[in-house]
Amino acid sequence: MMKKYKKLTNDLFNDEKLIQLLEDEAKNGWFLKGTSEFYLTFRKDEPKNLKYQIDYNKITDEYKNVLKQLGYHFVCGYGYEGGMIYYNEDIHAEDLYSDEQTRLMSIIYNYRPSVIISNAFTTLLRMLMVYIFYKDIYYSSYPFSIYNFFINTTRYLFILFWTFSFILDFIKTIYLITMYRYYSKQLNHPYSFQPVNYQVINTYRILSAVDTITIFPILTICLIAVFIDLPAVFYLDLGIILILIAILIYTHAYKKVAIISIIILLPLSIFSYDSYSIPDNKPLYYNNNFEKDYINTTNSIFSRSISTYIFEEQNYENNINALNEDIAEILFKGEIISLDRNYRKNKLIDEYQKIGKDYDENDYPYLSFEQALQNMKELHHPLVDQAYYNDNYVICIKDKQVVSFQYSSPDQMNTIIEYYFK
Amino acid sequence: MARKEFETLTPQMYYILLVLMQPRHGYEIMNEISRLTDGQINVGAGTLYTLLARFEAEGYITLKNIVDRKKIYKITNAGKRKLKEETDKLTLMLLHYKEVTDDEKV
Repeated sequence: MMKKYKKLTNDLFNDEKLIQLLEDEAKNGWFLKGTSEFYLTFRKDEPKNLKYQIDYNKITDEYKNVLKQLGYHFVCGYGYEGGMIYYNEDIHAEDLYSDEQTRLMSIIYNYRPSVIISNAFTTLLRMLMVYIFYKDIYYSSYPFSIYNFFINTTRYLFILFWTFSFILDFIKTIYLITMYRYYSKQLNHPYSFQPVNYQVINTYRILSAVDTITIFPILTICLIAVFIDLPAVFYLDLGIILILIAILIYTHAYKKVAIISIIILLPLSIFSYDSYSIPDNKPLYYNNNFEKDYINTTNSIFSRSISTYIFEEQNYENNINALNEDIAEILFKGEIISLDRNYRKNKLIDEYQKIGKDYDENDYPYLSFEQALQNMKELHHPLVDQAYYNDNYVICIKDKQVVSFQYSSPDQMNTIIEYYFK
Repeated sequence: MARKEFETLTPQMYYILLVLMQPRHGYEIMNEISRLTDGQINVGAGTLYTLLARFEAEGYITLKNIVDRKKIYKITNAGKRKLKEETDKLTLMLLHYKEVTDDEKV
């Protein structure tokens, strides 16, 4: 079948001009087949005189039947205003809109304030997603470095994905507001000329085209990364993945289904974090200098942070196993020393603030390991080699793995220890 | 904005409200208006369904029932008041017209 494409230029945003073009093309045997962001597609057939109309009403079964009775046939959707293109073989058929006022009324319905507000809300939601993933990387070791990129690939991809969709949604909100203002002005002053802001329309057109092209591949990569369980994916919970999918579906098609799934999944996902569902940490493969021999994976989401130091086993297979243990031991001691210092520091700052005194670094010096130990309590737990805790932190070591975390109750302390070392 | 929309009724608006004195569904309304005005005034399907939704939101008409997925509407008291108001306006205009043209003749 022969096909022809025609670029969608600014002047074709005027319905009258578009209809004129479609009718002229039909006379030459080119019939509209579909529309995209930038092009109109035509197919070749016998030349015919057709009447084209663009309609903006909500489609119901009743309305569809009435249009059919009047001889109108649906061609395709058009633009972002819920426009539908119809043709009629009877060129003397009644126009769909008897006057300009009602046409504007039905267009403006697509830009009503509730639509704008719900769009602003999804914009905020996307911003929140960017923040969640950003925060996550920010609190890991060596944030925003190439080294970190390889550990947290999925998170970086998600940041990319959500930043992009946030920008798109933001532009869409501006677009909706611009169009609302444009059409309400026109509705109130039907006889005055209102300039159309083509910049906003075109920016939105381009972005939404890029959106359909890029967003699905990015999301697919993210999901594949999650499912094949890259070392990078430490704790991306199923709940949060489902929310991402749900929001994506929401913005693209099935709104009701997606809203319901978000409502169900959001509490579920928060609940799953609250029950300490921390997936397994896998050893990572890096060079054997001390700084990179362990990987500090600080997971922090919904205001809890857990640090683990995972040692690369393979580097130490050949007679240097002892070194690995030494490093773990040094790290363990170092952690206790800095933990003790931070603890004293925070206490001192509180006290000084009460009496309004300034503090300086010399007020809370680093103590030696033995001195620091005296400020901590020993925890006897069957699952770990050694463990110490103070009022809010626990630090344990077992088999070259050092784990430190904040706790709020003894129960929570035990749950996390059991989770890691069972 | 919503208030301003129906400040003056267009002929289409006027006739839609008028024929809804009897409960009717969309297609019936169109046919009835054509019949009543001998085809002088026609209401496009797009215009009709836009107006039905807006009139309903404004409280001029109300959904009576749904038969065969067709919504049957009926005018409300508010709608009748609006129609009366508009008719009075038109009657006045007609009177003035007669007055002025009669004066000219004399």
